[in-house]
Amino acid sequence: MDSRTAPPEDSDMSVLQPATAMPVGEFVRLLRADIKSDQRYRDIAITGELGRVTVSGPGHWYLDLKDSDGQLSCVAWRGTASRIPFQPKAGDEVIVVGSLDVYPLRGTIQLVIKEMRQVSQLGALEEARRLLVEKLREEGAMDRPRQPLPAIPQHICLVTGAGSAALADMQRLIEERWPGLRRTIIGVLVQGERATAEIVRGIEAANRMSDPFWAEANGVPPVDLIVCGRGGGSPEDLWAFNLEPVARAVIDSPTPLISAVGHESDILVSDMVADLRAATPSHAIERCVPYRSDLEQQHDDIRLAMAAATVRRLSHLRESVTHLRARLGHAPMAGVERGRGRIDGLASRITAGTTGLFQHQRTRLSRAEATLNAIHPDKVSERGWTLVRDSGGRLVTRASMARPGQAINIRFHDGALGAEVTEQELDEHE
Amino acid sequence: MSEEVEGTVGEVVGEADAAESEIGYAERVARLEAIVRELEAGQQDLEATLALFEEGMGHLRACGDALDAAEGRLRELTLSEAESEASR
Repeated sequence: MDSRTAPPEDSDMSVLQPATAMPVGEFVRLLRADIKSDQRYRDIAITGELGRVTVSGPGHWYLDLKDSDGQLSCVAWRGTASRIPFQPKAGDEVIVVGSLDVYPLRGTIQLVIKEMRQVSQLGALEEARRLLVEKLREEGAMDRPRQPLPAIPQHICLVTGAGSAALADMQRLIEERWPGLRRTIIGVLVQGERATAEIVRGIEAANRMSDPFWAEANGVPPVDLIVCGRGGGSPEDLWAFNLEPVARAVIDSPTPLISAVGHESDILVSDMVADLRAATPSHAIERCVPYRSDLEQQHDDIRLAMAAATVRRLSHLRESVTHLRARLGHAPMAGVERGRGRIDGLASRITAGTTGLFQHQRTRLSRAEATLNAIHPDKVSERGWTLVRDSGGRLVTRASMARPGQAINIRFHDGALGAEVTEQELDEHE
Repeated sequence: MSEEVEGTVGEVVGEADAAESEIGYAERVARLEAIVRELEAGQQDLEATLALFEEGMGHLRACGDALDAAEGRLRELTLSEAESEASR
């Protein structure tokens, strides 16, 4: 240090002389040289929160670093700033590494930044999330039985960002799969400080709409499915879905709830505790809204299969009756009339049954019956019934079609017998 | 005899009606598939065949109704609108 800066020995008056006073510029230059040569102020790491952030025309950053006890001006020259991999903004928690300097024209001390990185708030958040997951696991919330989703949601409630891209995607997919599906959208904030409370309130409102009394009073079916979520974003943007209030609302939801947050790779606490985790909001819709046309096709398939099987069965029964009627001709007279009555009754009921079916299913049945007619003789012959043909190969379907002495061929399911008609008895009504 | 048929069919359909509100869509479809399998096995007598068919038609109608019932209004509410509506 220069001798002129030494404290006065005698009285205050002695330094208040122009000859002994130092020009301020020189003092600042000395101070600067002092500070710059002091190893304690070189390459020091300082942490704090960014206050004012200014970017100058040439691209230098002027930053205030502060905490509750103090504040320091910092500068990152353009060359350094261009290497820092994030855009600083007020409120960021950062660590800076740099050396102290004095800006002579203002006499201000500033830290010239060489490196800067964000102190991840995520670090603390991740820890809180880990603890929450552990707690919920211990409580059994992760292993609790999940509620099944309705096969067809009668009233779906979407709790998500109003006007968001995720909502638009979900709406589009619903209309594609089930045009006009009944739904209520509750628009909530999905990021920022108020998001947690709004998501919780949205889920609670949706659940009140699942109350049958509420539904009856409002003339709509109760909400039977909730989809809660948002589109992709940074981990901080999605964080509300990692917080305990949201997790609790999801766990406590008496209505089946799908958690649909972010992208495929984002797994939030709400995903872990929901009745179903969908990788994305669109995926949620794919999981819970079927294609209406598929279901209609399935109904048609069932209707056709049922009609075809019923007609096939009735055809078999009709043949049995015809066969019984023929056998009655050979029966002893006692009981024949009673038997004939029963057979006729059966025949008319089958006819009535078939007629009834045809009224419902005329076109489908005729198609089905055509198929069946091609199949059923085999099944019948397996039960011991036979087909009789004359020497010309024509089917003999009545006793009156053959004469004694005529050669006939009897077809069994495993082969045929040649035979000759020895006797003919015709029923009176035939 | 024909009264007996009606009685049997009526009874089956009646049971289905009574349970109408308790049967979900998925259960109906499962029952329909079982009915088709039973009919295709072809072991029932006339009464059972017709009863199965009628029961099946009843389920199909209900399934169709469930599809129609899922259609309704689209409502977009703000959180406060939803909350005031939900507490009505």
